[in-house]
Amino acid sequence: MSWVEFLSRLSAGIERPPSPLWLNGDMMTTGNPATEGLSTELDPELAARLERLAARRAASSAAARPVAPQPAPASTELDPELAARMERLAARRAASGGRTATAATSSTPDGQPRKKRRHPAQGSRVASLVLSLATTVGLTTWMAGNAGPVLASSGGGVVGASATTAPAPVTVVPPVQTTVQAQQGLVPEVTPTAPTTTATATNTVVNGDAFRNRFGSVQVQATFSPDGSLADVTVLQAPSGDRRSAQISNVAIPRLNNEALTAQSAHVDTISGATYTSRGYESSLQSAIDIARANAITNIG
Amino acid sequence: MTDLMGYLSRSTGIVATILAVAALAWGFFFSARETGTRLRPNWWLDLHNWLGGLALIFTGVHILAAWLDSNSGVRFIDVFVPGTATAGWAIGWGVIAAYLFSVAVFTSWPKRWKNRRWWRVVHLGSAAGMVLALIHTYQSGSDTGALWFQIGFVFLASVATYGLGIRVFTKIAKAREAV
Repeated sequence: MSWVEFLSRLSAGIERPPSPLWLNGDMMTTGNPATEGLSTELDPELAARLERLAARRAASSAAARPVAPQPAPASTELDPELAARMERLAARRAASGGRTATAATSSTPDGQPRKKRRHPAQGSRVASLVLSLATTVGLTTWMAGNAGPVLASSGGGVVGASATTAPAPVTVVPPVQTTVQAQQGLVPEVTPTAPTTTATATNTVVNGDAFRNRFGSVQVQATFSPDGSLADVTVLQAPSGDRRSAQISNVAIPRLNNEALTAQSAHVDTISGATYTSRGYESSLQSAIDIARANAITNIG
Repeated sequence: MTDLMGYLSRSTGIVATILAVAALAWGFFFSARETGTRLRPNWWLDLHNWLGGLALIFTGVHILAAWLDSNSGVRFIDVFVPGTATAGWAIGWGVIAAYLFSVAVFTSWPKRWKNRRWWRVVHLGSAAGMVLALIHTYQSGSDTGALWFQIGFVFLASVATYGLGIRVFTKIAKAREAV
């Protein structure tokens, strides 16, 4: 007997709702169901297996099953496990009413639409997304609030005159109370002294205002030669609070110094990647030049 | 606007790092079968997939914001070619890490790989990407001088190392049992 014939006999003989175990259940309720109705030509080993299976089902079954019509005698060629699988397949097809597999999975057997499957970590997904967005917004707001406006402190002023030998750069001078300082009421900064010479030419050192940005403050010190030209520029403060800012400052400041000395003005090109440092440098140097101009130290713009 | 891009770049970079470390740790715990008994393994896998995708999205926003920030000095080519930025390999490590994350995420979408072993090798590239991302964070981060950043950095590195250790030692233990 082919499996198609077997299935057709099964479906024809069913009077109650199909159950995957109806074959076995039927066996469980009728004495020795394993061998009842089977051909005497049944393999003894197969018969023994069916008997053991029926006994196991009977022991675990809780409710009596209605007696189903006797199934067609099982073919000796059909494996019982295969028979059971085919029977389950027939039952499933009977329940779906011949619908396609796609349609069958989109609705329950009673025709109700299936609910959309929920991810196992649905709640955690939403929570992580909300937390990530909130953290991003919070950090952005906090950084913007801590940056503050660009301020110009009143730290600038003429430090004093020094005697040096050109072209040695003058970065510090002894705190000397000059006439200019007395007029402005500025207190000279206490800075380390530099070796001086007895040269008659004197340079004037002027501190520019400090300009603060979101990465730190920038302040420069400009040295003017007796003829009023810009002799040297030294950075007193530069952003260096973190590794990145320090790296940028180390690269940008020497370039800015060279440009300022070449241009003899504070109008230097902004260095890519060091915009804040460049702008602060320019503003601070311009403030030093303005102070020097106001004190007739230089005529550069 | 430029300042906003700069702040956004910093904040999304921090969040992307946290998400990437979390995804890495979840993946290690799941693959080591050390998911415990309270939560089902499918919860671990589902959240690992989600965190990985979310980390990649925030990485993309971080890159876009850095490019739009004119003060960062990041050019269009710097985003795609490592080592060409003014800052050198401080940005380059991040570029490579982004590539490794992208490959790990996009190769996980196809449900079936012919060679599971190769998929695992490609997917574990994300762990190398995590290391490079942490290096990029330390070298390029604008907040590295802050105490809270340093504490958080150490914590994230510890979590990543712990997850990796769990995975490695579990594998070693199983190999010994098999022998």
